[in-house]
Amino acid sequence: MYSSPQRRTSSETIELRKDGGQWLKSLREAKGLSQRKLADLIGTDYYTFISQLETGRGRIPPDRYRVWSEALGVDQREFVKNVLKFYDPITFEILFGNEQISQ
Amino acid sequence: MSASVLQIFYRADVQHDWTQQELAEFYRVETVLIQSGVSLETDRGLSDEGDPWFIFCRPNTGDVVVHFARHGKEYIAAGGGLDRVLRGRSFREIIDSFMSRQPVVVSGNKGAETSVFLHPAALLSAFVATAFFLFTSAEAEASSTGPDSKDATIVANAGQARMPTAFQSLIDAAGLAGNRDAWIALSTVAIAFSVGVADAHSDGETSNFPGAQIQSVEGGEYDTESLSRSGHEGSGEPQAPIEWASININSKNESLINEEQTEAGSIIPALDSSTTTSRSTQSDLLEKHGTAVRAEAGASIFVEPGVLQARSLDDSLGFAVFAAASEPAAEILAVPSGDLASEAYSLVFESLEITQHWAASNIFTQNLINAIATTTRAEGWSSDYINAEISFVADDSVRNGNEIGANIETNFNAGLDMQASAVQALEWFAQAHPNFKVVSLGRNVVVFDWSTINDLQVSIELHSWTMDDGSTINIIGTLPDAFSTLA
Repeated sequence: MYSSPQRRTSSETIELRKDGGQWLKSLREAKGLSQRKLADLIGTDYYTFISQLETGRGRIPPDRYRVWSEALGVDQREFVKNVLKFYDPITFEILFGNEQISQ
Repeated sequence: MSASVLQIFYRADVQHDWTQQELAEFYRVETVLIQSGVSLETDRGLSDEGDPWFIFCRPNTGDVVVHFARHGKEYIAAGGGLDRVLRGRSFREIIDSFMSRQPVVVSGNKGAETSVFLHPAALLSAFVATAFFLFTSAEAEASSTGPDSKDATIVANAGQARMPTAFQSLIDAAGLAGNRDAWIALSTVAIAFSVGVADAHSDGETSNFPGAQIQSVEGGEYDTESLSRSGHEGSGEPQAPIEWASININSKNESLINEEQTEAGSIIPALDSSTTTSRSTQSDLLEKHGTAVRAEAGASIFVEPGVLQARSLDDSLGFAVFAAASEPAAEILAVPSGDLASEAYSLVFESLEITQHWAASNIFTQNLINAIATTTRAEGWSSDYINAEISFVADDSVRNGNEIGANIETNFNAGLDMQASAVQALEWFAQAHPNFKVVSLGRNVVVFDWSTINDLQVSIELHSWTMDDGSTINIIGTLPDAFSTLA
């Protein structure tokens, strides 16, 4: 189970998750994948999980970062940095400060 | 055989968004759980293929606890509160699968002797509530495994703080923090009570919960196969989209629940004189569909007494959940809602006996007795031994369906095997607080705030104390001042 130990206000969390969802959707569509196909690639048992994430609800489990980045065809490090930005903003700020992320 | 099947969800024949009935059930669950003190949010959407999903999540973190979806004709439940993805041809199948693996609900005894009806929404509500508690429990456990014990304790307590207050007080008092089994048992109590209140405010066909519509649609074919699937293939429109479930209880209190055995050997639920209408309806139902009902009873989920641990459980509770059908559906819906509320309360009382098995310590007990006994003496009430018995009595208005809710009468008789001071206290309490009804179940006393049934907004609390001799005093409702210093 992966929670959000870095407390923020509910509205901040929701907005960040929504932004993260849109980012994931853009990566999937750029790759030409359907939600079901992406779910197959990452080994998710229920493909509506992809739709849920793209809506900004929930988060990618950390132990799945690698397989997600591979499925979406993006650099692992950049993928995780982006994920941290949306899911764990405090950790991101500590590690990278105001560093820009390549999209 | 032509009849209407009452079910929670019907199976959609085409891929599209949730039906209004399905959404109504989801939102009913949301309302019930929020009323029970569970902090949650819901959201829903459609996949790029048009398959619907609906989630229950934590409001502060956005963590998804339960994800419901329908992929084509397959129903799915997943999320952080579940240990695996559950699949079925209906949500009923999913719930049955999940509940059958919980420690308080396992397959087993089919010889349950009596039945208490539970509103169908209680099943889904209990399912989601349990997922929330499992999620919270797992999160607290994970957080407490760190090397810094002090910080870990703080995090664990933070997780518990999100528990409904009604549960937390009893859990804390009994020293059961982190006991998943206790949480599940208490969730059952709370859900049953919440649903009971909901029923009491229902007109029989339409719930007062926002967005929750219970409809009665006659027609359709009924057989055990379709009932077990909770679906109606080939029907373009939903049939009666409600499924009544019952919980069988091997009651140790004959005065609380009577039973009626049919020639076929099936059990028909009956609650003393209050359930005249219900008994008649159920008899007719079984006469018409006895085979089918028995078949479903055979597929029931039962609580195995042995898993309730502690004490002698030979005569303990046996739960069973089974579907029932009616012909026509209106017959079931004509049952006064007060009966349903009464039956739900019976479940509450029996569930409290379950929690008593876990609550074995002597927290607050003597203080409680001493405090109330002192007050009793000051008030000058008699010291006669009393025995509070409960009986559900339907007045004319209830029988006519014009008024919701059954009355609880308390009858005081001599010979209760309790400490005199406790008995005095109860007598004083009953006199001083007319809204509270005192119920004795063996050595377990339940003080029930009857006024709460008429107020959906009231904050329901559950408090329990265990005496040195193992007996318990439980309070459901708003805690009176006399007990406030002890809570």
